Amino acid sequence: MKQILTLYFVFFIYICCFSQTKIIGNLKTVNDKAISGASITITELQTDNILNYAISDNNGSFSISLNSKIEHLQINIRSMGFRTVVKIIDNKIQTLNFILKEERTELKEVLIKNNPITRKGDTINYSVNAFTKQEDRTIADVLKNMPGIEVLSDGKILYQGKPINKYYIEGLDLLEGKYNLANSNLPHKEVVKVQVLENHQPIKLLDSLVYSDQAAINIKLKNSLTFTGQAKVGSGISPLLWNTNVTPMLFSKKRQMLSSYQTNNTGNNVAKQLKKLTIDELLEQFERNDEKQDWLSIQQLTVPNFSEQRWLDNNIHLITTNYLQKLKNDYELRLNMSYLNDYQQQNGFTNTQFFTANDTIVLFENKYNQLYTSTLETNLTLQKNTDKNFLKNSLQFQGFWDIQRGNVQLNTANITQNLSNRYFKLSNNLKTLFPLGKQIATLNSYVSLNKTPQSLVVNPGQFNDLLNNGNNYNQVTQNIDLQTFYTNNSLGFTKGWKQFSFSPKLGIQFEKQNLESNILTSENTFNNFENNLAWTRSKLYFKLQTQYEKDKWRMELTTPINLHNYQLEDKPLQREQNLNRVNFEPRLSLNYDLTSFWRIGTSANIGNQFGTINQVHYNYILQNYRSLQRIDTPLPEMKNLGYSASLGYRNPIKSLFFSVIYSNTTTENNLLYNNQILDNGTMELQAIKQDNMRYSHNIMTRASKYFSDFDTSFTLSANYSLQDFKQILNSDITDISNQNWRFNGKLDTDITDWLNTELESVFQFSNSEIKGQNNQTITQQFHKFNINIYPKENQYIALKSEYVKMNLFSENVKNLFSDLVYRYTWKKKNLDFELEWSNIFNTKNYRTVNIDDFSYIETNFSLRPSQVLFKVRFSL
Amino acid sequence: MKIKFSIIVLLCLFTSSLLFSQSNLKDSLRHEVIYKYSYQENDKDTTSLKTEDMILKISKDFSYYVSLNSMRIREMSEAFEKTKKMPTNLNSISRAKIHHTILKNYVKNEMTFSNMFGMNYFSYSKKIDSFKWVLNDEKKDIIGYSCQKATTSFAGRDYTAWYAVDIPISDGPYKFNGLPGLIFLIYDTKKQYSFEIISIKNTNAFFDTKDPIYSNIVTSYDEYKTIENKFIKKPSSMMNTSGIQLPKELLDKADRRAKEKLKYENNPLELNEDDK
Repeated sequence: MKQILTLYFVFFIYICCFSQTKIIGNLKTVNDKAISGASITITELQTDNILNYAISDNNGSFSISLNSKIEHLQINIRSMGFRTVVKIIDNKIQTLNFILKEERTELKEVLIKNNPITRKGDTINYSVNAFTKQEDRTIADVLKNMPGIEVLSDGKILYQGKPINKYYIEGLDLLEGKYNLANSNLPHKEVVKVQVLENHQPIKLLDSLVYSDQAAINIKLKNSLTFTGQAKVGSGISPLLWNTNVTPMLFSKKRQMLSSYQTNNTGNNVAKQLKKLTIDELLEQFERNDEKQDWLSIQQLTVPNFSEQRWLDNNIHLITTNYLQKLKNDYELRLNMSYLNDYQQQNGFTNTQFFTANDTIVLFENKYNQLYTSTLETNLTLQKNTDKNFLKNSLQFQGFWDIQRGNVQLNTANITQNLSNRYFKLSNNLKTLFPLGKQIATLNSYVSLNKTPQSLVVNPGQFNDLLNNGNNYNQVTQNIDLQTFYTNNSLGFTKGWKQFSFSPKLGIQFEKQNLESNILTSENTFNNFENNLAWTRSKLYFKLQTQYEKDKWRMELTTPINLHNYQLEDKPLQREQNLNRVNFEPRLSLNYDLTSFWRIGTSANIGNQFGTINQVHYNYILQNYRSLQRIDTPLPEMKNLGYSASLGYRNPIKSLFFSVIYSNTTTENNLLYNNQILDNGTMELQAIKQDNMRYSHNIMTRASKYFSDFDTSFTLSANYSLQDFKQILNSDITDISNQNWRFNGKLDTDITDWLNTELESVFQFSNSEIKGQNNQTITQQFHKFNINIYPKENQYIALKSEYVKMNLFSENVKNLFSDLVYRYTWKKKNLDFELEWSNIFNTKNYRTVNIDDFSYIETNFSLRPSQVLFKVRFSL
Repeated sequence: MKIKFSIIVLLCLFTSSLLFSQSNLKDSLRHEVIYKYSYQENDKDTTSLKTEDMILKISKDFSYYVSLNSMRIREMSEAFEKTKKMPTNLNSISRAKIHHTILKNYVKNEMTFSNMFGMNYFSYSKKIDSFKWVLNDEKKDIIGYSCQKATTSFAGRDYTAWYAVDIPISDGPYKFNGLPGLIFLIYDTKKQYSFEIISIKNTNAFFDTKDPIYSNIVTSYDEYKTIENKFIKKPSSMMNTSGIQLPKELLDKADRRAKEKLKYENNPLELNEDDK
């Protein structure tokens, strides 16, 4: 009863006090168009208190319900671009239609007092103290904590996901790309702050002219002088192994130094660290063609095509020093020096078959090679980098005092080879930027001088017929001395116009070389085998590079015109040749994005190549104990015509990626090489002038997919290549066709967060066809299976296995390699311990097969035995 | 020869997909509003509060919400396209921390949300969220405009908003909308998220919502969620690794770091998924 009463009471009050009103209506313009998005509010008279509101819909309609007892209400209709309507209405159910008059409504502007975006320049300062956690030791650890900064496991620093372009310490760039050495060793206690320089253009003159979207990092030191460093010590057994690396460093505002001493006999080729090349540098090097060249060699063993650490028997010592000093007038002087000493041994045998038109010649060689390397490299760089000037001059010296000894047991005969392949180079590279009209021009000037004094001594003497009237003799010596002067100078700039950018470049190259060589025999002092070749090459070039970018199109056209001049003369032999060529060598590439997933590209190019001095010499040179070579021919000339097409699909939604690339090259050569293979396996290479073509096709495809349900990514790739060419074998012109198939499958699975596996299989089929006759197909299989375990954050266990199988002449060869690695990081002390057991199954030999144009070489290489190594890394 | 032929066929096949070209909203603008967006990345760590300026570009039929920094980079690249001259004010631009953008199409009552994963933008469209606003008579002055209070709940958080009836634009920062005036200030009751107006400007500049720098991939809502989950689970799966083979250990480490970062950022604005 009580409940019913209450209910009744509530109902009564509801009717009395909160009678519901519904107001509907419509808004239109003078032209009878609906007004949408207008705000209609109902307020109490004389106040702003909104009782309810509505927003008009696409038809201009609105509907507002009200629970109010007030008799009169105010309706306010506001819409941007229309005059506001205010009307007093009765509180009752009604329909109200309005026609709004247009009126320009300007908002009262409020602008930001101090623009928070404009910051003090482009520098962000991070205070190191604020970001340091207890367990952090080095500045790299602290950098990881700073928002926006990431440090990858290989030491690369990313800012906002992009790699930094410079790493400065007190504004000085000592290490260039190798900044990780400093970053992972400098204790954070020595650093007061880290500065991020956003949009950093390393060349100050180009700042505000050439946009850079990369950032740089500058480390500000607490003290004016900081000394620190890193050491890594490792030792192991069977036989005695060592692996040591000591890296002390010193930083101050005016002077910085970093040195490193590394030594090991564990197969770790630390010499690789000295090679730090960008693509630009590689291209330059290709053009200069003045890297160390070995004219002579001992009979090499083909090295296995897998990880060096399994087979490299080395004893290496490497010392490097980098020193930087700030000078007056914004100049910086930097000295980089390195000395490398290595002793490598190779053991094994090769079984070589030369295919000739009528016959197959078989050669069995047992080899023991000792390679001594002794290299000194210095680089003195003077740099000025200010708003008005950029100048960088590098003076470089390289010296190689390399010696190689080889012992070959050919059937029953013993042959020793002693090689001294020295090389010295002095070069200077100048780069400067200056304003040219409205553009900034770049001037490059490179000059180098080099000398290649090399000699090969073989006991007993070889090529009896040619070198010693058919009699056996004790010793033959080949001497060579090549002297080169080379210079390349160019001037260029870049100009933009609409969607185009043009980069013209004008340059001149000049090269002068002198080749002197002779062959001395123990019996005969009279020397018939001398080269005295003077070589002069010059190239005048004008290159225009045009780029076009619009929407989904990208085009690049390079139209170089090259004027070549070659002059070769060997006075004693009364031989000379001159060659003048004007070549137009255009290259066009086109890319188009079909959709956001599909993209296509194509490119075409015409090019010319000319031989180098080691491809023309009028008299014999004994290259190795069984190759005697004379190339009494015109200068090799090659004309290339190439094109390629590619199709790519990348769909991140489905995590599916796919690509196909086809390329085709036709090369027209003016020379054919003649391999005269003698019965004892020795070889004479001569060349005859006859135009011939080489065709090569290559098709490559790759697909990958990530299955998120199984945490697995799957990659498949296939590659096919075909080459057709002609070769002279024992005076017969022979058609040769080489085919290669390669299939690769890879499966990565994350079983859990701390356990993942990696499985990779490669199948490779090679086949060569000579005169339409098929040789046996060679099948090679490589399988890899790796398990990575991260039991805790500071621990890492890896079990790596490799299985290799191939069919050789008569038998199948199978090899299994397994390694076990355990790493423990003691974070507090910044200590890393690593235990590595490599080649668990103690596989001792490895066989490889090499098929080249006219031979089939099977190599048996002695590998490193099973070994255990324990390493510790710590800071100095 | 056969290979050449098949490539030509392939090319022809895919040219047909050329016809797919997405039309994007463009019109002259009316107003530009800048909000200071503050967000606390970690639930517990109050020092993880970060800010970014966000701009809301309002035209007659749509509004576009984007980070001011990414807008500036976009404007700069557009200017560069036209003049081929490098802007001089490069140094004043910093990189955007917030990558999502929201396009509200008033006419279709449709919202397009896009965000960056890896190197691509992914977007989905759905109905504009409708909010249940409770009006309050409380008033206060914000940058010279009289604002009124309203409260709402959205995706697991309770919000207080202040809006100006004098600006009858029923819009606001992020997904917020539906009040009888422009939202000037909105914050959640935990004070972990806030959007505060700092500038209002009239403009009639022409604006194209298409991003000229990054490509945008249109997805469905479900697809978008899959991508987001995939990205959280294994960030490296979003990278196109064709061409370059990175060592597995390196990728794993990068993934671990990214995961740790995502683990720390445990306090999203939307705590529970809104019902679509």
